[in-house]
Amino acid sequence: MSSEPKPDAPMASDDELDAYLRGEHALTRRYRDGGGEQPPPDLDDAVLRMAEQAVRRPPRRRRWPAPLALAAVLVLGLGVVIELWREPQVRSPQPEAAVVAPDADPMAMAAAMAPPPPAAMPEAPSAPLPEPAPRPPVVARSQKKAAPVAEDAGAQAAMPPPPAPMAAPPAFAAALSVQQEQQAMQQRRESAEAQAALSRERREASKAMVREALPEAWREPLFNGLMVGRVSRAAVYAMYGAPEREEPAGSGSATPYWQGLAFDVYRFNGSPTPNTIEFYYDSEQTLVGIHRVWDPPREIHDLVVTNNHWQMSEARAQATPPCGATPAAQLEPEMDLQYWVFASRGAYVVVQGDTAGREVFYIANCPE
Amino acid sequence: MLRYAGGDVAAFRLLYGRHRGGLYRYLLRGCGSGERSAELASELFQDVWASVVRSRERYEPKAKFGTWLYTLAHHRLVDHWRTHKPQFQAIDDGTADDEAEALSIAAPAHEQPEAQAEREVQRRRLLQAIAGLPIEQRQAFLMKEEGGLSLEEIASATGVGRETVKSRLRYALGRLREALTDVL
Repeated sequence: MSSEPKPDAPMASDDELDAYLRGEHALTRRYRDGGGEQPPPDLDDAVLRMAEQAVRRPPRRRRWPAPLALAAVLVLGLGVVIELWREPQVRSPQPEAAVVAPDADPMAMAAAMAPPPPAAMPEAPSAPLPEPAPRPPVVARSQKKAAPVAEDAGAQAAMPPPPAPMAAPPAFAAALSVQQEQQAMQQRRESAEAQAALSRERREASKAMVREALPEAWREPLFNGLMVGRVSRAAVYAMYGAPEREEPAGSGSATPYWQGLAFDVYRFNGSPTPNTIEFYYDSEQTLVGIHRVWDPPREIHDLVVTNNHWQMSEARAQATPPCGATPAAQLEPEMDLQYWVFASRGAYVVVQGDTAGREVFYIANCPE
Repeated sequence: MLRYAGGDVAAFRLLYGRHRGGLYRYLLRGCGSGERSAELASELFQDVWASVVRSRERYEPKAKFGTWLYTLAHHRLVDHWRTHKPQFQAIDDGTADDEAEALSIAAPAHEQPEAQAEREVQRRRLLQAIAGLPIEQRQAFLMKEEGGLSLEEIASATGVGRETVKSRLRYALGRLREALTDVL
C-alpha cells in the first residue's frame, strides 16, 4: 500500500495546489463535468430500509457483562465483610463501661461518658474523622443511650450536651439544602429564559433577513413547461412517464416543506451531471413542489443560466433558506452553504462553497 | 445525524441523499478497476452506512458529518485492501461501457451527440488516470472531489498529518495534469 513518489514524479506547485483547493482547477471542472456513477436503486432501498428498521426496533436491553457483575458482587461482599469486622470494635467499649458498672465512681463514669473525644462516642463508626462535631444521627443515638445512665449516676458532668445546639446542625443543613436547591432552580430558570430569548432573537433576525431578501413577490414556478401549483400528477406522468419510485403520503419526506405529502422520484443520468428530481403532490394530486438534487454539484452559472435560462442578477444570496425552512447547515455544521433565492421564479438554489449548486427547490406557495 | 439518532428517519434520508453518490464513487474508485469493482463498492457502501446506523447513538458532532462518514469509509477500504490485493489495471479495457442510457429533461442544444461522445472519451481518460494513482494519492484526491473535504479533514479521516495530505495532493495533481495535458 506504500506509494512513495519517485524523485522525478510530476508535482503541482503551491499556486496550482491553492487553486485546486479553492475549486478553481481545470481538473475539478473536468472531473465534475464527467458526471458520475450512482448507487443502484436496490442498494438505495436496502440502506434506507435498514436505517428505518433500526430506529423503529425497540432498543435491545443491555445485559451486564459477566465480568462486571462478578466485580460488583466481590466489591459488595468485601464491603459487608469489612463492616462486620469493624462493628464489634466500634460498639463494644463504651456501652460496657457505662452499663456493666452502675455503681462505679460517678466521676469515672462522667469521664467515660464525656463526649469531647469523638472517637469515644458510642456507636460512632465514623470516629476517626477529624470533624469537630459528631454527625447528627450518631449524636441522636448517643443521647438516647447516655441519658438514663447519667440520671442514675446523678452527675451533671455526665449530662449530654444540651439538645438545642446539637439539633442545630441537621436543621441548618436542611435549611442550607433548601436554599441551595432554590438557587439552583433559579439558575435553571434564568438559563432557560436566556436561551428562549436567544432563540427568539435568532428567529426574528432570520425572518428579517428573508424579508429583506425577498423584495418582490414570490411567483409560482414554471418547471420545464409545468406550472407548479396548477398541474396534476397525470400531467407530470404524461411528460416523464412513470417514476422510478413512488412514495405514498405520510412516508416521510426529507425536504423541509412538504412533510407527509406523497412524492415521486425520478433519476436522470443525462448530461452533463446526473440529478434526482422529486415531485410533491397534495391530497388532490396537484403538483405543489419540486426538489432537484445535482450529484455531483454543478457550477452555479451553468445550473442557473445555461440550464434554466435565468439571470444571475435576479437572485439574492442569503444565509437562510426562504419560506420558513430550517437551514440545511444545521444538519451539517460547518457546511459552507448559502441560498440563492429567485423569488420571481418561485425557486431557490442551495449553493455549497461559492459556486457549487447542489439543490434547487421550486415552491408553489411560499408562506413568508 | 442527531435528529436521526432521535428517531427521525427523514433526517437520515436527507443525509443519505446528499452523500450517496459521492461516497459510492469514492468506494468504487477505491476498490480498483477490476470486473467486480461495482459489486465490491456496493458491498462496502452498504457496510459503511450500516456503521453509520449502528453508531447513531454514539455520534457526537465534533466534526461535520461528511468527515466522519469518509473516515468510516476509509477504514472500511483499508480493511478491504488488507484482504484483497489492490488492482491497478487501467479502467478502460474496452468492455466496461455499460452505463445506463440517459434519460434527459430538455437537453440543451449544445449537448449534441458529438459533444457528448467527446466528453465521454475525456471522462474515460481522466478515470483511467485516477485509477493509476497510488492509493494514498487517489484517496486524498477523491476525498476532496467527492466528499468536499479540506486538507485538515482529509488528514483527520486518513490519520496522517496535514502536510502529508498536501504532498499527496500535489503529486496526484502533477500526475493527472501530465496524463491529461492536451485537454486541461
